[in-house]
Amino acid sequence: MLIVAPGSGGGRVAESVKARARRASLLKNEDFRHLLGLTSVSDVAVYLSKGAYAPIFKGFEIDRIRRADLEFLLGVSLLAESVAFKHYAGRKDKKFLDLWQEYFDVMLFKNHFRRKMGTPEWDPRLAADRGDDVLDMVADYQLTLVDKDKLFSADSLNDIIMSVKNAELRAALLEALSGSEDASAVRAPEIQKTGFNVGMALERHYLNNLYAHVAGLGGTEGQWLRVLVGTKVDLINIYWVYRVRRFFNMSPEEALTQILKARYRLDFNILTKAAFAEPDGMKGVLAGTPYAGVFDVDDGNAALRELEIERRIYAFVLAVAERVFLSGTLGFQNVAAYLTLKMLEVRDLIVVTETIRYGLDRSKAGLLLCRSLGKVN
Amino acid sequence: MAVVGMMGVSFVGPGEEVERIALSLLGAGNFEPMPPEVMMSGHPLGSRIQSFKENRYDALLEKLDRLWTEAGFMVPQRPAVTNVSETPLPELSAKVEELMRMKDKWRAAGEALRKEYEAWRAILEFGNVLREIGRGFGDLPRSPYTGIAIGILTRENWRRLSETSLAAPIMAMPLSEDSVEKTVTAVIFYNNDYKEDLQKILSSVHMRPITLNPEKYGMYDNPDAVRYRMEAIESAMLNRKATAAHYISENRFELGKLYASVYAMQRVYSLCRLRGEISGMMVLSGWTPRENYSSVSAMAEREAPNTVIIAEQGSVLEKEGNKLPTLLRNWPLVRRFQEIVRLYSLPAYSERDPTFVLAVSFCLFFGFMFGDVGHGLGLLAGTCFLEKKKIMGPGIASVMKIAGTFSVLFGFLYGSVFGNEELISPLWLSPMHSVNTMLPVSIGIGVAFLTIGMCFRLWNVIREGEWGEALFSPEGLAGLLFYWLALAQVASKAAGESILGNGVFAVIMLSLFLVMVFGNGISKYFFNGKMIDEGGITHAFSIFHAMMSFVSNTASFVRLAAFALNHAGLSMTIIVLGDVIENVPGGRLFSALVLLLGHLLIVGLEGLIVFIQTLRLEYYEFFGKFYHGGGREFAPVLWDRRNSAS
Repeated sequence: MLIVAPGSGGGRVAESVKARARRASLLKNEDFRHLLGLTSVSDVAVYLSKGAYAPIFKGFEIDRIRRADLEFLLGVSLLAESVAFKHYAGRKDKKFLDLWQEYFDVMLFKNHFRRKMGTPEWDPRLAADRGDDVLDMVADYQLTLVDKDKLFSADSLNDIIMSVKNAELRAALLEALSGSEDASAVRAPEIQKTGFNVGMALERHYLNNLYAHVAGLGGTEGQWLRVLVGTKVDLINIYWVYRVRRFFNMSPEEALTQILKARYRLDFNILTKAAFAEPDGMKGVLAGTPYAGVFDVDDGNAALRELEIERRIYAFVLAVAERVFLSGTLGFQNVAAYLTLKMLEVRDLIVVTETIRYGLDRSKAGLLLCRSLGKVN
Repeated sequence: MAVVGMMGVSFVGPGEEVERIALSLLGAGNFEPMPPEVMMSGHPLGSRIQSFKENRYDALLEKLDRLWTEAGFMVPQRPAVTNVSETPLPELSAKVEELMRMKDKWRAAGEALRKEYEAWRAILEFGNVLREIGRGFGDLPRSPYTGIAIGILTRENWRRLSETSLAAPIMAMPLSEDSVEKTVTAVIFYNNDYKEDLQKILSSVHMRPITLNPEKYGMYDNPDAVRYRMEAIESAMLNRKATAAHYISENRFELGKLYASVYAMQRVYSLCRLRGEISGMMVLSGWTPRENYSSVSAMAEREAPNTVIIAEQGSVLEKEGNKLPTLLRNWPLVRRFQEIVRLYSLPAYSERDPTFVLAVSFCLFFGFMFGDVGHGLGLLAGTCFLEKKKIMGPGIASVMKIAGTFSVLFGFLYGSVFGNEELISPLWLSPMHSVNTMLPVSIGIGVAFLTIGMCFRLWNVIREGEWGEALFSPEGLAGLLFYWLALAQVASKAAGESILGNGVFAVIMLSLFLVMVFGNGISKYFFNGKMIDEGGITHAFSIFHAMMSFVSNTASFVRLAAFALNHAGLSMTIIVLGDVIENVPGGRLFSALVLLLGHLLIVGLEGLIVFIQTLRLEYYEFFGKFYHGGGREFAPVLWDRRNSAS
């Protein structure tokens, strides 16, 4: 049964119905099982091109597609989907979509920055030299966080930062750069730290703004959007505390300086307890919160344990997005939930593609997806 | 009054010649570039073209812009240059880089001064706090157990630090907040055992530390001495700021020349951004209006004797799968209605431009529904006001002005001034007294309008060679005959006579209906046509829908008469209300107020509703019959970068 949330207008109903219809086009578990049985990346592309992903393959030779191209196209499809919803959206919903899409700007910025810094982990899905291609393919998309021309023509780290439109973020990024305007001036030991600081400043800006927007929304729609974005905020806060303690060797107090200003259910007290707890003690800290199960992982293999924690975080977000649809309410939350599901689907598709490309163990790949697929034969 | 025909043009020649061509094209502003490998895909050279996408002058111009802006000058606009720069790119780059190094030096000096100023200000503020509690810098603890750190950090970082301080053995206090810079000056008291951990926290929140020199505590305790120092730094900062401006003023001739050269080349390569190269020759391709082709080729022959021009008609390139840009050309008054067409969607290159019919019908519909001399003038005045206040864009404002003018013209036809029909006599009729005329006239206008829409559709499908669709479909000739025959029969019956006997009429109508139902088969038989095979039930419903649309679309035009009557009725209500109030104490004032507000309401609200209704008739009843849109606007690269599409 569908319940129309108070204040829903015609446009809202249209976008909810569209989101629900689009949700039906998402890949099913059977599709993922089938994909994991394929032998090449181009087979994956051919399979995807027969369904909802067909438009992104226009003009591409699917038979000869490479992994990086496929991942790039999947990223483009994600952006195109959210842009398409803007046609229906009212003022507040447009604002949400603008903030949501800023993640693309963040990725584009990070890629330019990392390439200039010479760090190897720039993301091929939205590679800097393909920024133009993305913008050509999603013609309606307008960058809001950065000035496209300035970013593309920047030839120093400082120039890249100056392409950011928001003055406060620009200042935060310049601080993170610590006065090293040109990449060669950043000494090797500092590269990772500068990259980390810049990345965190961008993530903080993105998530704080998105949550600040939904925090001010009223009605059923606002409640659901807070659940969706708030859950993400909580999980990111707790995961950051966990990661910087475990892998970056930060003190508990230092870890607390990294968290977001936005909080949903995990307040500063819980996060402080988490920061002061040993990494293995997270399970106890989170007991009694909705996230208790996230860190309740078998301590056997360390690498697998980390992968499983990450998978559980994604799976938790997936379950929350599904809950929005199960609630049966009509409103913009359906769009946000659909986009979340789509994002997780793309994430899983990338896992599948990499498993196939690098000949990894297919039976275990099913355990890495955020959907519950179980062991694949 | 149509979509302007385009030519696809490619220039293949030495780089310097193509650059000269590009400069001329920029001045003419009639060339939209496109990738040469796409434009020449059918040409033998096409596959050998190596394509480029970048403009190496973008960064140079951006840097020069920054130099001008940071020096406090306006960036030069549209420098007058008639030749491409003879200075090669590396030389231009070197000159710009030298300027940038100088600028960076000035900036670094300014930054150092700013930091020094900031430090002295923090010392002054800390001193003020100490003085408030009767202490001075000399009283600060110098024990091995306690430490003090002072520093400046952004407001957001201060929030992070103060929150973290709740979980750390430190005490953080704000000294002052700078609302302009959005920074906080803070002091932190800590235990010396915790110093190392604190440094990590302060580094995480990017606090800029201020070092206190115990030897200068005496000076710190003297606020006048600190202020004197700050004033000295302030004046040094002002001098530093003037350095850049002074340098640009001193060297304005040389720098102006450099700027003009870089600007010219940036524009040239904006136009050549999608260039190609083949055997050392540069290839530039793009679209230009057909009517400009002769002047473009003459220019190229004059400017670039060694350059080959390859040209092809737009229609040929379109058939090869290229999407051509749309440029509309209409008479000046009609041109204003292009905005309304654009609002819906720009016509595709090969599509008919509906602007002329839309302009005529828009004026007719609006005037018909909102005919009043006074209200029309009110609408004109209101539009001018909103346009001047920049609340209404010039595009829509110009349409509204024409709509207001037609409202005035129809006001004369109706003899109506602010709803009063006694001031002037009608040149045609009074809507309230001629309902029986208004209704058939509005239906008649609708029939004519729908027929034009159907004829446009017919023209479209014939042009595409879809003869079966043109002749046998409900939206084709069969449907049009069916529609007109039914109308003629109804009209003649209403007039008391029939143009056809009932039997003959029924046979013809049934035949036309069957033609529409079996159009697919007939089309296949006669033309080997390819009408869309949509399945029996869908086809039956689509014919039923088309029949119903004839009725509903025609009936939709009753709104012309309805809104004309509504306008007269609403105006009359305002007048009567004003008359009634006039008899109460102070009635004249209230009456004037009611009349003023009432007429404002009519002009504002009813004007808006009629505008929406007019758009509805255009978009739904007219465009829905034949129009697809989806065109892409012709976007030439211009000399003036502010107005250019690139």
